[in-house]
Amino acid sequence: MEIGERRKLVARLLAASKKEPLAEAEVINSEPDASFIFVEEHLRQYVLAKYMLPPDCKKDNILALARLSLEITLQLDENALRELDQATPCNHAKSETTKKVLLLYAVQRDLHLPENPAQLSKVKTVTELAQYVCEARRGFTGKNS
Amino acid sequence: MDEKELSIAEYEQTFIDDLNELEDWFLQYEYLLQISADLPRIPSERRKEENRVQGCQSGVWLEMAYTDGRIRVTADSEALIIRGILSIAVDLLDGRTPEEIVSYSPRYISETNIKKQISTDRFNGLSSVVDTVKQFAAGAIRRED
Repeated sequence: MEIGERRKLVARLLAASKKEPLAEAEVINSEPDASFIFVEEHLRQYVLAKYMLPPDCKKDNILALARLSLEITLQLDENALRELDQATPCNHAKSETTKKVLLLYAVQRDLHLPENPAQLSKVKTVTELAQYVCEARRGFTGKNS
Repeated sequence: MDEKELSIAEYEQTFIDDLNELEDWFLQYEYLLQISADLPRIPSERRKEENRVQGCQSGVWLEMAYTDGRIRVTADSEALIIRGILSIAVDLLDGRTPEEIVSYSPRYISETNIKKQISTDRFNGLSSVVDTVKQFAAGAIRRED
C-alpha cells in the first residue's frame, strides 16, 4: 500500500473510531438510569461503528460480527478467512477473538465501567453485553434492578 | 512521493508515524490487518521447511532472491496479524540493495505499540525474519566481492 493510501487509511480509521462510537458511548453515558432497551440500541450502534459494519447489520454474536468485519476488511468470504487465519499455538488467539477482546476492552473504557474480566469474558452477544453494561452501571450507582 | 526514493529508515518512519498516530491498539490492529491484504500469499506447495523462519510459533515463510542487484523478498504467515506486521517488513526490504538492507536496523516494532501487544515469542520470531533477510543480503554482497 502506498504512503498516500496508508495516510487515507489512518484518517479513515481515526474518523470512524472517534466519531460514531464515541457519540454512541456519550449518549449512553449521559443517561445513567437508561433502560436496557436504550442501552442495547446504542451499544449495538457503538459495536457496529467500531467494527465499521453497516448500521442495519442484525448479527448479535460478537465473534460473528468480528468475523464479518474481518471478511470486509480483507475482502474474503468466511471460508477463505478461515483458511487464511489458521493461527496458532494455544497461547495465541485468532484474529476474530482478538477483535472481540479489543471491543470488550473498548466498551469498558468508553463507558467508564469497573474492570470485571471474569464476567466480561462470558459475554458472547451484543444483547449480553448490554446486560453486562446495565449491571455494571447499577453496581456503580448501587441501585437494584 | 516515490517510496523507493526514501531510505529504508525514512520509509519505516512513515509506518511508525501511522501506528503512533492511531494510538489505540484497536485501531492499530485494524490498520495492520488492512495493510496485510496487499501481501501476496505464498502457496502451500512453496511453504517448505527450508524457507520456514525458525523461532516463529505461527508458521512464517520467507522467499528471497537476488536479481539485478536487488534483493527480492516476500513472506507469509498462518496468522493474520503476523501477516500485517510482515507486510511492513516486506514493503521496507523488497527491491532494496543488499547494502541498504545490511545497514538497516529495524525500529517499527520496538518504537510502536506492536512490541507491547505481541508475545515475546512473536517478537523474537519477527526479529528473525529481518535478520534472515539481512543474512541473505550479506551473502549477496560476499558473492559479488
